[in-house]
Amino acid sequence: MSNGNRISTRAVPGVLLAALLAVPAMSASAEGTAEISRGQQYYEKICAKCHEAGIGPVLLGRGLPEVIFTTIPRSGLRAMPAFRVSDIDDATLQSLAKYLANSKPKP
Amino acid sequence: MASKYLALPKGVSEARFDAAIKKFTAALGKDNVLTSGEHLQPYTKVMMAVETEKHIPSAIVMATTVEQVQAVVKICNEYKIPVWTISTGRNFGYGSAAPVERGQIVLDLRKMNKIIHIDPELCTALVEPGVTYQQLYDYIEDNKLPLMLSFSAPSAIAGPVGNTMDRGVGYTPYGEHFLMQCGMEVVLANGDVYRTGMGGVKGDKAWQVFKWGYGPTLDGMFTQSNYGICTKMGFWLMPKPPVFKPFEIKFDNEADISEIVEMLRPLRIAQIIPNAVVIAGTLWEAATCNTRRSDYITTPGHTPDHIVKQIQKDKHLGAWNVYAALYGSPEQVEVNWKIVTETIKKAGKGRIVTQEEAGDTQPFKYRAQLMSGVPNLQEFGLYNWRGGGGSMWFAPVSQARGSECDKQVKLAKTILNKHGLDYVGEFIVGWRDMHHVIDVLFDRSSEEETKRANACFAELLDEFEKEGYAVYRVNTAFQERVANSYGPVKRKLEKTIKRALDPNGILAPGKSGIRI
Ligand SMILES: Cc1cc2nc3c(=O)[nH]c(=O)nc-3n(C[C@H](O)[C@H](O)[C@H](O)COP(=O)(O)OP(=O)(O)OC[C@H]3O[C@@H](n4cnc5c(N)ncnc54)[C@H](O)[C@@H]3O)c2cc1C
Repeated sequence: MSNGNRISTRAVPGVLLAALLAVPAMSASAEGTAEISRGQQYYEKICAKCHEAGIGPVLLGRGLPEVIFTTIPRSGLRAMPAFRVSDIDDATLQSLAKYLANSKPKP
Repeated sequence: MASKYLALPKGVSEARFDAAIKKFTAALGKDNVLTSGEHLQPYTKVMMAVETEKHIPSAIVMATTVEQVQAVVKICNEYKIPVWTISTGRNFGYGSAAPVERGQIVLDLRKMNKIIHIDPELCTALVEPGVTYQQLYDYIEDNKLPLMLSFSAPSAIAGPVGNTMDRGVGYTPYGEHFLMQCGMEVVLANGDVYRTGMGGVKGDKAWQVFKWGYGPTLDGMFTQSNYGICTKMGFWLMPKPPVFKPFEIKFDNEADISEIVEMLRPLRIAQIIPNAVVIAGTLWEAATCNTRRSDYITTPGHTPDHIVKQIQKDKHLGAWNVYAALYGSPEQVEVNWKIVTETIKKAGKGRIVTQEEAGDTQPFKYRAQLMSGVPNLQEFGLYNWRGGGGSMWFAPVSQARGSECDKQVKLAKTILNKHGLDYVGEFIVGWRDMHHVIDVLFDRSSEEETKRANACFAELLDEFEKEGYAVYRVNTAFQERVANSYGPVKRKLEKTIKRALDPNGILAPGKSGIRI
């Protein structure tokens, strides 16, 4: 079967991937959060259980573009589970991406 | 010919599939019928050592009500479309959310996620398939209910219905999840809605408290099978005990496994230790406290014993690490603690570590969380050991007998090492049985290593079978093979039931090797 609709095993460009997996430069800064978005809530409840436990790479304060955070969760990178639209809808994923792209490193 | 679908169900033309998709869309709404590559992508991610292409679905349909599930089944019968059901779809290492066979549609019930009720007095729950353990945990916490969950390690994202339908296990005294299941609602292939146990009695209130009902008790036949789609499940919850005392016992030598099992079995059978005890090997422990193989060795192949020993030393691990817990009133726990410590003392080996001593360190912390029903994802550290996202659970059952466990470890390690892979395993102690769970970890981004892992898995099944062992559950790529381990009579009976209940063979054909 040939089609123009194949799934890609690599949904993100290599450069972005390398940036994600690189060890982040940590700089301490405290952040006052006014209102917690749905995306942030999802991050704290689910994503943080790996990404703040030394299992997945650190995501906070990396200055990575939003597109990384909307594409990788859908395909799952290496051992990372893929997140379906039934797990996290597009709007929440977008909100999560915005939160992470603009986040500061954890103190 | 170019198709607009990633795959098509076996024997179904594109035109017929178009017509079926139209009907699904009319029944469920267009947002709940997915066919684009972008939307199907997350359902194609598997960890097994076979090509992704073999398990690609043709479409995803999402239902939120029993009536919608009935509508899906009706359309599947009309157009002969095979349908693979998932609840939370986190069956990692067993097939994830992908179907057993290329081209099946996936019925994703993740959005059907109501906690119908939790009764804090009778300690029962009734939930829909999409409910996650995290969701239940939050509900219990928010409502300050004196209840405790039991779950599989990917707790935060997995759920009780899917886990129980695949007869998964957890780590509390309620860890044998199918044993704690009480009352199921199942949509059959003909669209009937069948309730097990007391569920068929008008006005009944005992559905979640009495399992057996009247006449044949059929709950079991819907698990690990393709005889129905579960749309509600009841189960029992453990009352939160006043005292929870987790502990670890570290043993230094690989050869100690036999004695460990002999020592623990009487305590487990007598319920002095009431939970599903775990006996974890060094590499499992190392991986879950963030040790990577590449920290020690970069040459391919299996990790030599002297390096495993080095890791054991560096990370202060045992060759075997036992995790168990005591639950109850202070007096009960005190008495049982005395029995446990005296048993260890008498054995003359094994170092006990208490929660006070372990503090916040891993892997003790996540083990204690698993044994007390607090969701986490720490065990995903296993995938950093070798990297590359390949995993298949090899899970042979054994008697809880020292000599048997010793024999299985040796056999598994020899075969894994022969194929250049490591023994990353643990035993989960039932009452009288062991789930010997070995994570066959490999780099799925390497075609060569993936092939080796596949050959290794096949050999593990063959060699274990020669010794009279079979697995309790297996990934979708090997389900047909494992069905043979259990003999032709069972297969014939399963086929007879399948033909009677699902004459068009629309429900998950191939699951556990069952087809019409
Ligand atoms: C690090 C790690 C640790 C793990 N530890 C454990 C563990 O401790 N214990 C354990 O049991 N597993 C474990 N697993 C395996 C697996 O991830 C869990 O069992 C998980 O709970 C299964 O996924 P799920 O609950 O989302 O079920 P699903 O994926 O939703 O369902 C599992 C299967 O059951 C069938 N099914 C699901 N829903 C229905 C339905 N409504 N009607 C009919 N059939 C249905 C389908 O065949 C489906 O493939 C582990 C995996 C990983 C990666």
